[in-house]
Amino acid sequence: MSFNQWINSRLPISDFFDQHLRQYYAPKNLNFWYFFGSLAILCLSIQIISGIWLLMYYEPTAKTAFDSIEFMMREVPYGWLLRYVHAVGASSFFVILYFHLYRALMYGSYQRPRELLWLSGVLLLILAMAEAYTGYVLPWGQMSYWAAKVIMNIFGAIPFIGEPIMHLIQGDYVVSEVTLQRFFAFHVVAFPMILLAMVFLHLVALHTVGSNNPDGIEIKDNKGADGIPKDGVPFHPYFTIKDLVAAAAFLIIFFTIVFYNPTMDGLFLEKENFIPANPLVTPPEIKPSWYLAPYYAILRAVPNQLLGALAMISG
Amino acid sequence: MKGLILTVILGGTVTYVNAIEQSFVKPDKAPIDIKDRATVLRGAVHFKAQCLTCHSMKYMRFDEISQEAGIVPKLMPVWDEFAWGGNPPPDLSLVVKRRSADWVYTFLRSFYLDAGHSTGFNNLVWHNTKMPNPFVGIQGQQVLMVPLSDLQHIRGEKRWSELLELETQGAMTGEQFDDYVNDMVNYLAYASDPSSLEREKIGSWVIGYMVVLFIVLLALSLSYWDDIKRKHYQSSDK
Repeated sequence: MSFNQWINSRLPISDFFDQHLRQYYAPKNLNFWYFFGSLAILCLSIQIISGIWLLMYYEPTAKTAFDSIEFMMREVPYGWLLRYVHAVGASSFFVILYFHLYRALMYGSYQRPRELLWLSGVLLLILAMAEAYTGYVLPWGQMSYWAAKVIMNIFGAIPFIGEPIMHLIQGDYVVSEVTLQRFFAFHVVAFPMILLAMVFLHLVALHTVGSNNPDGIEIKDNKGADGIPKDGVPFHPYFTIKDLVAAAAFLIIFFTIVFYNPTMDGLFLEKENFIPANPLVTPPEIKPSWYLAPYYAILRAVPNQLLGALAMISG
Repeated sequence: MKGLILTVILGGTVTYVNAIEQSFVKPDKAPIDIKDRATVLRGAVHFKAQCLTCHSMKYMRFDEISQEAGIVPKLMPVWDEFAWGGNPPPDLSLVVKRRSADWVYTFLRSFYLDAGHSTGFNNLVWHNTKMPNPFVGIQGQQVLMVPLSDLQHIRGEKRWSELLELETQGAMTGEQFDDYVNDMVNYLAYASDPSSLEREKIGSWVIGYMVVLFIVLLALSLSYWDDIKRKHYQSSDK
């Protein structure tokens, strides 16, 4: 019995690989817009790997959080690289997700039979926002602190139960070190685990219904005598290699930003966040990261906080 | 009602912060180059002589340039939050990241005599700053050429040099002083992100590698997809 047989009779790795890559058929007319799903997985992996290293040096207390990051940036070998990769990674993840979402809207990938694929995608976007927001609070800079306060106030606007919910999440009557530690737990354990589980479900749904394509024709409706869709191409090697080309192109842009303009002149790392959090001084303007800006604009456009929050959520 | 009170309190704070951070002029472009080690080191030496008495550089603990200039942790001042009437001089390790080199370069050169202000000098970039003018001896004393009340209308349309004139000459000429301040800003820019020198050096290798990888993968992908395209055209010919 060969080693492969020994393994596969106990754990069917080869079967799994065949079923989901070698004998999984994707439409052969997938274009540029279909790269962003696999790129999103790449971004998520970058975030998890760089995040693990950041976690080794970050100290989640109000007194040490800001300093521990500056310590990492200056005195930990390549600490700056990991931090910038994580910060640029967060913004890149949203660029990719928004392209991915745009593709789904443009080609109608939310229609039958892909409704659950779409809904799980929407949930993933919301989870990614929660993950990004809790991560944004961790450096404990001025904008971290005040952004936390604004979002907590949105919870506080819920009628009757708003205040207890707000206090439960922030763990205190105001945003404080307790809030920082809760957000730390959410950011490094709770949300990533849920996010990964949702990614798994998203992929299960995708592999059940198959990819849509720009022409909107179901490839499964037109199978050959061998039962293989006539317009389908095995995912591996044809799309794995195509996705690798896209990954390399993406990484060229990604590393150009990481190495030459990691803060993107205040767009990826806001200037205001280079001041340690001070609960007594409100920054002249509190604004969220660019990827949350449209939702924040909706919130701000409605004078009533509750109605604004409802408009934002429905947006 | 609670919302109204919160709005009033927050609104009040925002106005207050805006008031202390009011700038009247367009910033000059700081001609800094952090790759020029000699000027960064010169700036560090100036910083130690001029600024370290009040301002710390607490994140610059082990870097070679700060050590060479004598900016070491044991010399750094530590203020409690009540010092200087509740306005202790801030740490400057991150000032350029927070403000920009242009802002600091313009701020440091635009002090002018203002008998009505507590320190005797005011500033065009940060109106009513609590920072005393540290450069009277070397830059000289500058005076405002327009009435103070006109500054509100000028907001950002002019440069500081169009609004101030030198009343008494300091130990340096104008050009020497500009270079002096620029060296200092160069050091502050370096201190805000010391990784930038290493970053740009490694960056070209990483990106070069990714470009080669991209070309190889693209060639591989095209050769794989050749089969599919051939089959596709054969079947459509039939």
